[in-house]
Amino acid sequence: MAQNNKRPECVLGFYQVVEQPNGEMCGGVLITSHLGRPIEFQCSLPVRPNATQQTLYGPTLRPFLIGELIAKALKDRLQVLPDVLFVNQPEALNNQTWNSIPVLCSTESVEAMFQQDFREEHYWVASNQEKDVTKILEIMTKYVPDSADLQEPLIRVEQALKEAMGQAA
Amino acid sequence: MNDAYGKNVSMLPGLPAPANQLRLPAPVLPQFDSDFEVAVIQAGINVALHRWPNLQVQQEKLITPPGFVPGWKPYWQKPKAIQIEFPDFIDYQKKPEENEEAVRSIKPPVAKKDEEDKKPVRKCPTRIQPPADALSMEDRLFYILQPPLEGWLAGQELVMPFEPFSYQYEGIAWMFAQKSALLADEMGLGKTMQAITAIRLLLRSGQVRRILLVCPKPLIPNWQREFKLWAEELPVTTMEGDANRRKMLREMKSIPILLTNYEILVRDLQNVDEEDLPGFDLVVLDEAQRIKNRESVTSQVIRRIPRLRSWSLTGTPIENRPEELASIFEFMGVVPARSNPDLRQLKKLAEVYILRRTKEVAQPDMPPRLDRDAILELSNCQQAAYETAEKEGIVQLNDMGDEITIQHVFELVLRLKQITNFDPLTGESVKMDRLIADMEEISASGAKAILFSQWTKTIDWIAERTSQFGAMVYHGGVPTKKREPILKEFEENPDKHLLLMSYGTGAVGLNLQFSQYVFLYDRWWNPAVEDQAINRAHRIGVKNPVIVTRFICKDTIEERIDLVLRQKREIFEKVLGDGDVSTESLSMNASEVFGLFDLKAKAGKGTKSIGPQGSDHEKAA
Repeated sequence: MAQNNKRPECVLGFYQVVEQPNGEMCGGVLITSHLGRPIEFQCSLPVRPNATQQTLYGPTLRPFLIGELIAKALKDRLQVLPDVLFVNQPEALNNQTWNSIPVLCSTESVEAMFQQDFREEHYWVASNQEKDVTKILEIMTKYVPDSADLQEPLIRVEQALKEAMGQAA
Repeated sequence: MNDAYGKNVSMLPGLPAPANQLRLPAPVLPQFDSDFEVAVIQAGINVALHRWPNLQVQQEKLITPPGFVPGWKPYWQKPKAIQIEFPDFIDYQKKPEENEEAVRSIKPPVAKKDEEDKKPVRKCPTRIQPPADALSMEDRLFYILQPPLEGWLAGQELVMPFEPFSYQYEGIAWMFAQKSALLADEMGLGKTMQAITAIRLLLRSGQVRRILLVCPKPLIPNWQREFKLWAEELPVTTMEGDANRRKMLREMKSIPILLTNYEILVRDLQNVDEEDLPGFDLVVLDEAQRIKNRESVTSQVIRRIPRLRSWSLTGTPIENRPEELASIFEFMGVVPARSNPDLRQLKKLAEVYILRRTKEVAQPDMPPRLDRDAILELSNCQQAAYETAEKEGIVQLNDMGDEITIQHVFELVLRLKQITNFDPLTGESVKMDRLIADMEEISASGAKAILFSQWTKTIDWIAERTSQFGAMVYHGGVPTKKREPILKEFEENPDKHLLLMSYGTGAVGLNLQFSQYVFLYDRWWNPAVEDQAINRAHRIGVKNPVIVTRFICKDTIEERIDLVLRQKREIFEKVLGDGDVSTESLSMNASEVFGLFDLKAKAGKGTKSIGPQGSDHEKAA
């Protein structure tokens, strides 16, 4: 019997924000091994934008909350940083928050992005991350099994957030 | 001087030259006519209105020098966050097999499919749900964030030898999350495999580190074999050897899985002080009906073992009375000690802590089990012997008056049942005649059959008369070491068509799904044990319908027992099925036992089990 303390060959991150009808938002990052086993989960308490934020950010409020405020708070607390981050909300594609971590979005967005395919799935990536993405996809091809469903962990994150918000309410 | 508007302007007196460049028009007071007389009060200020104010400009130094004035920048407080860390995955070194093939296995070629078939159909994944009694957010999120079992087990992280059925995935996911669980799947649906896989996941994910698995003695080889098949990397240590060795094994904390049987466990722990009892993260009881009597030594010893999780496995959580389920619940820690929940409460607890699936639901495509009752008329000699024994017995019982006990009635029942099996004087047996007739057909078709009786002597008697079918004997009298080879030979030798087994030894845990026929030579005391026996053959992997023949002699005690067994089946339905729970109890009571012979029950007898306790009965016979 041996404790497996070493970092997996490829660490995947999955980031998702859930919004409630009352405007509160709750974000979560799930860090998994390349085989989908959870390593760490960070989840924010519900965030409600105040009147100043609503006035100041106007139509950019959602990208600010999802891509900056919540994402940065979670990223700063992560003990294991992922090699790649998967999101399904275009607002989360903020490469300033995630710095060198490539962010792959499964939902199409129009702003300065290019499309990258991986195992018959389409992803959209910020244009300045092109090189990083190419590199990480090579690593993923090597370690992530063909049968892996890379959208599935986002469902787990969504369920966990709903559970957390339900308990917080 | 005049300004641009032609007004008279004048130099301001007393100002320096540059400042005097400022020329202001002389103030003009508005004048308007009014219809009323305005009296101007000579107060002196009116004159001042026509005079220029005395303005002076001076240069003063600023108190603080002017600098960069910052713009307002918003500062938003960071949202608070909750963190969950997951234990590291634990690796177990797989023992290298001596005869392991040196070459890697090659997948067989797969026939090309049509374009439409190429895209794999994604099954609905089996997710682990948090248990109802998990209250903290961290606990609940821990389970929600686990990957679906299909991904975890289907070749990604843990390799499975065979793809489990979807109901098995559900069972594994349910057990993984439960601290108290009773897996009560119908026999033959793979309770062992589900338990092993759930144990494997718990161990590998660092949730548990020390497990005690208790099973009936004959099933130890079965568990060893199943562990090797489903979780070969897990080291399983069987509690065996002398008392010192067993004590050492018990106290070694590095042993992840300790396998033992009920008898050894009770013997070893019966006299151990509370503080010296070994603690376990998980205690699993196979065939948990062994603790159905909460006053028995086995139940008491097992309940004392310190543990964090308690699982029970049994296809028959209720054999005779609902109280038996309460005893299992007490071990699981879901009812207080010595409590007596009623049927309604038991049913409510069952919804949370019991997972039970029947073959009809779990395996709709499984070949059916065809039950047929062979109603036989006793031969003349048997009939005479039976009538004599019955008359004498009843007379004796009546003569006993108030001294009569249920045990006396029970002895008469046994005597009569033995006569229905065969006449001890002449050896005549209508059941044997029927068995031989059926077996000739079965052996001619190359099929195999298993036969159950409650008496080892009857089994030996049958074996002598069925040697032409290659009959083999498997009962409590056969040494444990010889039992596995018997089963193996029965499976592999085409000349062996009949396996004779006792209910006590052969009814549980064995996989005999290659047998197409089951004979119940005599009836056991409750239908649950009979079902267990039948399900040795009718279980996962069965390819053909299983034909079950129950021998019942007409106008004998067997017909009356058959009626009682049908009533007992109803109790089971009431707790675990959708039956009506309004009736307080349908347990067998003394009146019904005495009623087998139209005897009047003594008052105040209450509820009692009429059946013997497992293998003890075999010895008694």
